[in-house]
Amino acid sequence: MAIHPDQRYLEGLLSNDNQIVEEIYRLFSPGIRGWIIQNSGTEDDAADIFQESIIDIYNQAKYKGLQLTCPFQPFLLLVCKRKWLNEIKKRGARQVTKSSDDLSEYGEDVFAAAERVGVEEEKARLFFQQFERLGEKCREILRMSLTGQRQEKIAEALGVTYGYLRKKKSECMATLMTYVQAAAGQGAASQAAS
Amino acid sequence: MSTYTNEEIIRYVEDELSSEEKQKMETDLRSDTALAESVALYRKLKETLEQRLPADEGAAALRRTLGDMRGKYFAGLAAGKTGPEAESTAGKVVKMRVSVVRRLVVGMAAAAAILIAVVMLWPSDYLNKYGETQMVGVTERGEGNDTLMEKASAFFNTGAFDKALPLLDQAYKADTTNQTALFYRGVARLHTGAIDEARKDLQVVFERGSIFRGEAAFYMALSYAQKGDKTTARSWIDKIPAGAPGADKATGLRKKLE
Repeated sequence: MAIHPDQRYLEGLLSNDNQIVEEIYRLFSPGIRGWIIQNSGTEDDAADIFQESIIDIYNQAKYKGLQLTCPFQPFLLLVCKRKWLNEIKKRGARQVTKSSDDLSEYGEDVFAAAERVGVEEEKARLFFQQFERLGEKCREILRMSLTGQRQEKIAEALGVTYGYLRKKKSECMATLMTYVQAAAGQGAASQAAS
Repeated sequence: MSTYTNEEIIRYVEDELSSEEKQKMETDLRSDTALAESVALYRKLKETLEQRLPADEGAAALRRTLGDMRGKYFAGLAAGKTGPEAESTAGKVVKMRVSVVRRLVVGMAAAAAILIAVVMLWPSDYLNKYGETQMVGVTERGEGNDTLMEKASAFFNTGAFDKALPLLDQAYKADTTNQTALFYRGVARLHTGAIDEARKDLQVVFERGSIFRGEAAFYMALSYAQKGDKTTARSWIDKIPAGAPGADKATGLRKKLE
């Protein structure tokens, strides 16, 4: 599918282009703020959701090679909406249904792209939440082992043998996997119950 | 699901199984969806950590820009809010509910303060100067941990590092993603002479790549300089990128070491 000219917004986020970021705020924040405030949110909620949605899009562009094949405005709006709906669900509030805009003119691909950003970023957040539950030693080993440094050098820096480092790294990752599986299971269970 | 442990799954992905073990797992993978999901989960987990554990300077810079825009396009512009009320809101720091955002803003404020911090005396054979750090930007940030941080900053900023330490320790233990607490705990430990403990904190802060990364490297350098280990001190100074928080003070320290 052809890359949409609005891809320039993603490029602007990746290069931290002040003018592009300002354009995003100027053009798109009023609509999203209006929708969130209309749907039980506050000014602060709207600012948080807008900001964090942009970071999610940046992460997807940077780490997953996201390219825009649809206009940026409905895409950003849908990413924000998804995030806000999840947030109010967490707060135990009633699901919102009010809509001040019409997205029917946009294809399924816009919805799919926004959904993908939301799902991927939620997954990454879950991984890091669980990563923080690991003991300090495990975090240190994984942080050093997974960031491209030579394993022999890391073992030396930590004062352990290469064999021990490999074994410990494997144990730590296994523990992290167990945490993630349990948390994902809980999430699915609570979603099914709600 | 077949009875494979997560460690065996990891060994499979890392190609550490014997050829027999590998063959058996591949056979099971064809019919066992739960096992296939676990393999996919490990791959995803590893990929995500590899990508995102290193410091992302681009994201940090973008967050700063977003912070500026937020103040311009959101603060004080709430629907129906006009006149003096809107003006007063526009001028103050917005309290953020999203904790990650909040910590980053706190961090940025603190880092900005660090940059303009005063150079003063360090009672050491090797150093007579270092950058004094003030804990700022932790007020008006809500409840709980932040109140703890406010109390810690009151002690910290008056040089009562021994009193600030338990509070920073408590704040960090309550939220181990709190890089602000960890960084200042490291600095406070350095001031109280617990150099090994201080280095552990600063090393973690440096590796996590928060806004305090450059400052953490600077204080690591300082800890080695203080002990007379100029080579290691210089190697830490080399880790501070030009223009990063801590770079100015590092230049002064490097000159002193030479």
